[in-house]
Amino acid sequence: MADGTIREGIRNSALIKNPVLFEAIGIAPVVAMAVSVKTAIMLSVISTAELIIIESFTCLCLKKIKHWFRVLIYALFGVFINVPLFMFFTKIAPNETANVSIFIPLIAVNSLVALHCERVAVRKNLKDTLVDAVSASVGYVFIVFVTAIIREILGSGTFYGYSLKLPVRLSGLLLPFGGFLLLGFIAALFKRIIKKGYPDENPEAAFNLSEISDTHMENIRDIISEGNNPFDELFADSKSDIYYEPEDIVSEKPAVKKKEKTKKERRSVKKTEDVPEIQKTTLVNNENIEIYTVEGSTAETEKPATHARYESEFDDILNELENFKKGKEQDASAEDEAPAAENNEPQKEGDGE
Amino acid sequence: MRIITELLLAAVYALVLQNFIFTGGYGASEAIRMAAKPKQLYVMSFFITVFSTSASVICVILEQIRRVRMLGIIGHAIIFILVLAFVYIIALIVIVYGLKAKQRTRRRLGIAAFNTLVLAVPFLNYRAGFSVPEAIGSGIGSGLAFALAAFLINLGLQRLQKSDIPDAFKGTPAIFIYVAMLSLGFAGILGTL
Amino acid sequence: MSKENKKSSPVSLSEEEQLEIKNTRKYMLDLLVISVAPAVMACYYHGLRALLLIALGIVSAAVCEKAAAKLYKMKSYLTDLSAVTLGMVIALCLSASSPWWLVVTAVSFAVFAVKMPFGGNVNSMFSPVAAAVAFVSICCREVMFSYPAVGAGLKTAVFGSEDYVAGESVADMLLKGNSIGNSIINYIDILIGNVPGPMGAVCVLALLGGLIYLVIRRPKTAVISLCYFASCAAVALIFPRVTTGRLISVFMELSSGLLFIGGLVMLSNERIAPEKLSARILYGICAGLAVMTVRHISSFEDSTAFVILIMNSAAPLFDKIPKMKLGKKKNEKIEIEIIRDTSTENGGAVNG
Repeated sequence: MADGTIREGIRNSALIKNPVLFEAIGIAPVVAMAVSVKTAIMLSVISTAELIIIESFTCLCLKKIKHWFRVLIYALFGVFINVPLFMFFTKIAPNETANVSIFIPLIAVNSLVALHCERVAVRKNLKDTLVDAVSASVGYVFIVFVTAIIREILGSGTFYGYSLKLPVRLSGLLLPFGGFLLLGFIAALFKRIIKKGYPDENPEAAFNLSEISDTHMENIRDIISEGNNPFDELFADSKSDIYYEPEDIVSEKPAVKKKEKTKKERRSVKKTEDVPEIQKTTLVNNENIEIYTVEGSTAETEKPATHARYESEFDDILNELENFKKGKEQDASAEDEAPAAENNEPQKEGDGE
Repeated sequence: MRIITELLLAAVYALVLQNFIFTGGYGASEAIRMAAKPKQLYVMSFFITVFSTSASVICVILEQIRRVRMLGIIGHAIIFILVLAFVYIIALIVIVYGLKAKQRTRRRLGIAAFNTLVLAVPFLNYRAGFSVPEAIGSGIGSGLAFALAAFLINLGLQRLQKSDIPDAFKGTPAIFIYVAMLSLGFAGILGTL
Repeated sequence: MSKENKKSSPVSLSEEEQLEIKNTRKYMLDLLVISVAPAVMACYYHGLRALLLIALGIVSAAVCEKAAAKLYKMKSYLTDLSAVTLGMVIALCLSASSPWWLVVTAVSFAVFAVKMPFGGNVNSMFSPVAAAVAFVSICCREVMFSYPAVGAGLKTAVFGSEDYVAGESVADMLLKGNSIGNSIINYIDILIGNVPGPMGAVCVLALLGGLIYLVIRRPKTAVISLCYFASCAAVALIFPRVTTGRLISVFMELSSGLLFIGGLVMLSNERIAPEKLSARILYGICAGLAVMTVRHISSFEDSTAFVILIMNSAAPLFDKIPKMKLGKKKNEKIEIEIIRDTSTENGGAVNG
């Protein structure tokens, strides 16, 4: 995020972390609505107004409100900002407004507003919030206009409604398919520009792809097998959320964890008095160790089977690391005495992938 | 029997024939981001299905009132968002106080409730003049469409990660082009452009 | 192809790259052989126009590939013949009355938007031919699905010109519910390609020859095509779109539009298709079912290309499905357990 200077803020939010191109938010209005310059103007004005007003309001008034109510307020506020703007555009451009009538209210629930409010407005002061709102708007509006201009010229053969008399019209570009395609190429172009102009910056970091795996295929197997609770995940502590990375909600974590620890420790102490039990050690954030019982009659202990499996994989990796370290230590001591023997440990890690 | 047929047809329409995510772009951001975090896919899809179905049904029932029917687009938008807010509050009470779900679940509830896909469904039902069974089918279909979209995009993301893509296209550029191809495929199913 | 190999000079190729080019060239040569017979028949019926369109397709593909490689900063080798094959097959999927810009648009889209952004031929995500056909079908529907009449004394002219005479393709007939009837001449016409339709997709005999060649040369690839045709035929038999008989329905469906060439070239793309044999069988069957289902509901006279795009995206799923077993897994218990002795409080990780 910006150090405070407006220029750096705009550079970060508009270019390097462009909300549409690299964060993949606010896509729906762009692909569905940005098909001509006129609709782009409508979309830009409404999105900018919503972003600036809602972010400022959030920064000033909503910091102490719980997240789940804030989300509701963003949506309601968004619609009520849309109403006067919709009426304004209906008066000045009735045909265009009629064509995109359904999309204008949808801008109220645009993920762009929610994400920027939760990431910036709630945590920063008003100046930083305004810098973020303006810079995200600049980035968003730029993409909207570029997409709309290209789609109108190539798809409709017009510019701002005036016919260009082009020999070829690719009307398919006016569909969402065309929007996605253009976003892909514009993103590639932006990436090339960023790599040349700011080689230290990494636009790929804005969209976290680290969780991609085929673990959901195992979930299909689990879901159709017996004894599975598909809502295990509701009660598990997964590492990241669709919009919020772990660092975004650091402040809310410790309090919850402490309470759980105490409850579980108490429960485990009670049970150890009766029967020697099988317990499971889990590692969270590589630092804290949580111990909780696996076998038990309560539903809560049966729930994290999936969670336990993920953690068992994690523990496997840690065990391999430990063995590798031990092996290295042995090598180091063996080198002092005799020529080192070949160590098989590193090969195991590679095979494990 | 007729009710079930209408429901199923509407569901299939929303899921495959006119997949709301690929052919309309609704909920595209959420689908792409969800595809990158597949562990939450089923929970999010379930929530989206619940919200879109309940909001659809309530909105279709409210459409029977003459005064509501006479409202314009913006009037309908206000009604739909208020209905969605009401459904969200009910869901919040159930999830937070009834089931005592954790922080992550509550956060997902907000994203699942307030996104372009869930709000688009009542609008599409209103435009198409759907009945109550069709609205239910449309809501269920949109939730399933979301799951299908995230699933297909996730398959693509796995392949893209393993592939040797040109530097300029690594990350979101390749993802967008991949989604564009899927969108092109779904656009041709009905063929009505 | 590793990144270190990419950094080598453009003149010297690593062993890996040479092997890759060789394998690709082999596959492309097979596809070219399959495409030769339909191309010859297209030239026979449509004369010089067909030849020029095919040549234009090939040249455009080569130029676009070189341009894309330079623009995207990646390597491309024309010697692997992928560009040539791509240009030729795309041209064969279009109408003989297509204007030159349609061929160039289709080929450019296939290269710039489908083939090269994902890393070229090695990392194909979607069939470039299917994507190109789908793109022009969406963008230029009228031009794409307008076929010149074929017959003695009829000259093939570009769509929209004064000399252009429109014909009714078999796919169009099916869409309207019309049948070719029981006349043996109609069957022979379809078999030898004397009907309006995509240039390289109308001569059923030529395509059958290509299928036989594929079965002999690449039986594992041909499995996909055969299963695809079988399921298409089954659906056509059970749910005919014409009322003159089920066998006529099967014959018409299999010989209409891009169904046959789609199964032969687009669906069986070795880079995209599943790897296991069982997965390929399932893939072919599902593709056939999907194509025929969409044909019944779509307003396009031929939606094969669209369905193939969706099937391409789902291809990795078929490799995973045979692994899944319904019911309980063995050893479902949690793998790592700590057996805690409450008296000594010693613990240790045990791999289950």
